[in-house]
Amino acid sequence: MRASEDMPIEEGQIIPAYQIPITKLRMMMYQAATWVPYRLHWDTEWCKANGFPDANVAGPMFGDYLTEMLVRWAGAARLKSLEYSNRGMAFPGNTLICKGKVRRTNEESNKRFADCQVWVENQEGRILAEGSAVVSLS
Amino acid sequence: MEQKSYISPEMKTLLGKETILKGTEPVDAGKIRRFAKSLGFDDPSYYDLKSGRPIAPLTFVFSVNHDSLCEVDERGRPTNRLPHPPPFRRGVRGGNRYQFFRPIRVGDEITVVRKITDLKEKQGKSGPLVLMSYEMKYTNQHGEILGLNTETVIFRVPQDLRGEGDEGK
Repeated sequence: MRASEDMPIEEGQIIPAYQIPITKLRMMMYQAATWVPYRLHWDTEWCKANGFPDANVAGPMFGDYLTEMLVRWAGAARLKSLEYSNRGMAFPGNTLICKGKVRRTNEESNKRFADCQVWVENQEGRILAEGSAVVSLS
Repeated sequence: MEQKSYISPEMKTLLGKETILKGTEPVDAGKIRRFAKSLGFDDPSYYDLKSGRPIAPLTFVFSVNHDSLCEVDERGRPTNRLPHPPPFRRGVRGGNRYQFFRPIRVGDEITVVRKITDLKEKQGKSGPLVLMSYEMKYTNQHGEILGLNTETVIFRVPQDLRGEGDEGK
């Protein structure tokens, strides 16, 4: 569902989930597009030699997908900030599912904001990243 | 017994020091399109070539290495990344805080000012940790602020450097 800048945002509202399958091909394309060829994120052989089970998804990808979920829901102009902490690794073959909900709405300096809880989980429900976002309501 | 500190005086001298990184060319439509495509995004505004388009996904400014000419080390890690302060050899990205101002547009010439803002210690499940936070401020050629990114990297204190009481973890 595309965002409407007029769409009302209320306390308790569930943010429509956004999910994406992760493949090694997508991970390689992302590292190429961001111009960060760090082997940790595409070189399975190197990763295994350095103690990892496989190449793992770059942390910024969690932020990219959480942001896109929020933009699709509230619109780019209303999203003010996103804060997240990494909690687990994602690997080729995983599906990332971004979720969130509006914790509360509040007012500061005559402007209204929605404070949202957001997180990324994999197809097994394991939390990979979690944090919060601020959306402007004024 | 006084807890040993793993933040050296040399590390503390890094606090507040600024590094300026300049993008090597203006942002072009291809860079925006490839970023959006690699993530699987389907919003047409990330791909249209009409006037003023495409506009970049909001995190483009933070996720992309804007230096097309930078070198990489043997791990493929760009050498313009913040070096790990000795004695730490490997760090893990703990998290980020993004503040959004406006999406990047074609023609933006990006400058990043990076500054280490905080050093902290804590006890992790597997032993002592040092956390380093740094802020990156992104502006364009007109001085417009495009974004703020505060990132935290976590370093695990190597076994051979741990003090009494921390060794066994």
